[in-house]
Amino acid sequence: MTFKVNELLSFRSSSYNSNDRLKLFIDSMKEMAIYHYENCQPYQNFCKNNNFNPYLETNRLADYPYIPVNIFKSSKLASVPESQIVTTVQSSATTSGIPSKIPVDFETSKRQTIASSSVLKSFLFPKRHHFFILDSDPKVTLNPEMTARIAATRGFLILAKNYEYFMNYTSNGKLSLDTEKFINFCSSLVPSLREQNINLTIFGFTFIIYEYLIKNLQKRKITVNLRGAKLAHIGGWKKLSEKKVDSNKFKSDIQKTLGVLPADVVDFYGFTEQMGIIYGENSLGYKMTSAYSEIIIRDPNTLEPVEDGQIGLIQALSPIFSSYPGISVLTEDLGRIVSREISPCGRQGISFEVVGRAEAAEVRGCGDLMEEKMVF
Amino acid sequence: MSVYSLFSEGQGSTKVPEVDVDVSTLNQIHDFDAFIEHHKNRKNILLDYKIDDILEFFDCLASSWESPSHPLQIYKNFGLSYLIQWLRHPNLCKLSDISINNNRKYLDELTENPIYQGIQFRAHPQGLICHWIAGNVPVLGIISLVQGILTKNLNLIRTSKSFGSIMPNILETFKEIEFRNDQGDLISGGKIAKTVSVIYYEKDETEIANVLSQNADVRVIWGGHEAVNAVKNLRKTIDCTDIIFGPKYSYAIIDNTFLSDERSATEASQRLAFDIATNDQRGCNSPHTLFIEKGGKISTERFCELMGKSLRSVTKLIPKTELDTVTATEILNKRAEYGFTGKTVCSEGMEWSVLFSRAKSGLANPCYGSTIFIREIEDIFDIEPLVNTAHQSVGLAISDVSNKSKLVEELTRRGVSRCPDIGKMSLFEVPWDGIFPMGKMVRWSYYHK
Repeated sequence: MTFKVNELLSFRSSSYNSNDRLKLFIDSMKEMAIYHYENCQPYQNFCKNNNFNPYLETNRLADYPYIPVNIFKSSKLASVPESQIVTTVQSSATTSGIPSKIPVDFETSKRQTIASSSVLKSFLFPKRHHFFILDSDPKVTLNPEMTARIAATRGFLILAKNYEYFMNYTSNGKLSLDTEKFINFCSSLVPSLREQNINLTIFGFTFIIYEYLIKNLQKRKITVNLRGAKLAHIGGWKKLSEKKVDSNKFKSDIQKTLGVLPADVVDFYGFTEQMGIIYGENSLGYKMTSAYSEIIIRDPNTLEPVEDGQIGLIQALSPIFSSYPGISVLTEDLGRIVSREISPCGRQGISFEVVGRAEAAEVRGCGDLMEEKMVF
Repeated sequence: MSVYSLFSEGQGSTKVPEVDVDVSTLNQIHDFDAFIEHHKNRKNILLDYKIDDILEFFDCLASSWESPSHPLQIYKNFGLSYLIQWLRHPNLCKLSDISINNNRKYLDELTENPIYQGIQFRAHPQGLICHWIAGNVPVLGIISLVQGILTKNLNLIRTSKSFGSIMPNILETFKEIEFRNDQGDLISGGKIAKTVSVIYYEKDETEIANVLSQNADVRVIWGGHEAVNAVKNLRKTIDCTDIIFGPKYSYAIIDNTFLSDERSATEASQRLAFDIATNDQRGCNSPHTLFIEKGGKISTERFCELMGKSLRSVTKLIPKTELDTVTATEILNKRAEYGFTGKTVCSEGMEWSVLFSRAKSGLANPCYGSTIFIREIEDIFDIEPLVNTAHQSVGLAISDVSNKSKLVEELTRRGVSRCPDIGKMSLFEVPWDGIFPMGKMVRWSYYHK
């Protein structure tokens, strides 16, 4: 069976004919909604409970029912038989302590690779190149399951010609930078970066890059000159904002320590429940949808889409997933749409800002009991 | 150390229409020990009043609030209408009598007891009642205070941040009431208001909290586990009495006779919808799970639809406050979880949710936001193993009187405090959480005549 979504994936990620792409996106969403409706009984029930009939004509993306991302922690949702699942991607276990588990088949994996590769090429370098990874090598540090960090890193390594890990776990389980190795690699690569036009991306989680690399080098008063390289980071700002480090300080400290220009530092947004769909940062610092994704911002109380500029919960749509019905999910991230115009750096798509996570009120109801007092 | 006064000396420091506490608008108390001592000096004010004068005062107050033009009408969404009914003379008379050994006169003078003839009893105020009020249900703070006043105690309230300005604004209205009783004595709402102070301090101000606690003759503590434990662990005098209204869980049971036809099922759903929507489902008496006995002609799925229809109507009458985003996302998670395997009937926004799945059993974790989880049970008595002392109200719709009595006996034996009919779960009655609060606010003495 051929899917329209594969045709959608033939579009360039940030430069396309808007009308053609939108029509194909809507058709692909409909096609995949029908696919999941027919192949995933829980999804069919969910659609019926939400009065959504995927066979009926709709051009409104806002009509697609959205599955809250947290549901993947408690419900196993698959639209393919177990035998077709090639890997199960697991999210980090965040606040609840329970990770999401996402079944991925060959077809989904292929589409995830195409989508993410296309987006990465447009933000980093168009060809496969060198990667410095600010994390521990999973081959050295054994992890029984594929954790979200490893999975996310692998997603970026599709653009890697070769790569090197620069961190280790110490005997007491703490992450630590192999400073000597990092300096040595930088020293040997710096001439090539300039003379042979070799491309390099430094990749890591936002907090790890800042706390383990930048602060470490700053403490030792070490600077390197990796001007021309790109620095890609993911994982969000929660931990750094607690330390009063914002994007400007992050970029400025990177420039001072590594020599990477602020314009070459790219923050990517994405989440396990829609692995493969990534949102890079444009020249104004806003995240951008690609040809393969759309976002809708919803009011947390009315659930209606809000006007552009207003803050609400981020709903993410993409038809690339066939192994599980994750084509329309509601995140717990709050965001706002900044613009639907082509960005100053020439990218098409929706520019948006992630402003934080859903927050609880101080006062809850009286029914919150100790767990031992509840009988289920 | 920062503690703020919201109401003292019969005067408030916040203005209507504030609801939540805004520290920047409050008067800081610079010497908290002196503040408390000064408050204690007013202990004789209420001793000059007879209990019936105080009851009359509250009845007049309720009449005053009832006027559509009264400034307090801004709180009609926060339980004002219920409070107006609760403050009425007949209700408070019954409450006082039943709480004070069937005769409220013990609060005024030595009074003979019909059982112990020849002995006269007297119920004196304990002294200073300190109330720690929770922010989930604003009317409960008033209910707590009124009982403190009826027992002629001084009252000092540490209010919550949310809804914290309601109390001082209500106290401001006391001075509107002034009348002479049958003996010609002047009863002054302004003087009654002087026996009450309202303060606020942040929850990490342990030293302030300890000073307050050590001065209390009675501590009335409302709130969740964290809040209750925080107050319980404060220093207190050896003979201080604690009245604790901690977290409790409530639910409802409908037997299959109420599902014998569309009409009775609709009526049951309407009554339960009222219980769910009152106080935004944040009270300890708000039901979160509904158990339906199988065997009725109306299917559970159909009942879910009726329940949804009733909640739609009720939530139009009882407006809701906005949900925080975490609660909203938790409800959306549950809507999806139940949507995969069962039946969900939900508002388009986050106003209400009816969630049913045969894959689920037992008591559901509360989700709030007028979310009711529906469970099927074979027999109403199947509920018994689930019951424990953390359960407060079980709303009942059971036709057979004998079965109802048997079930109530089982439920209450296992720890349930009250078993009102559905539709009456939200009423504040006594005993509450197993106690008569006013009974614990007095000190008993007697003498042989």
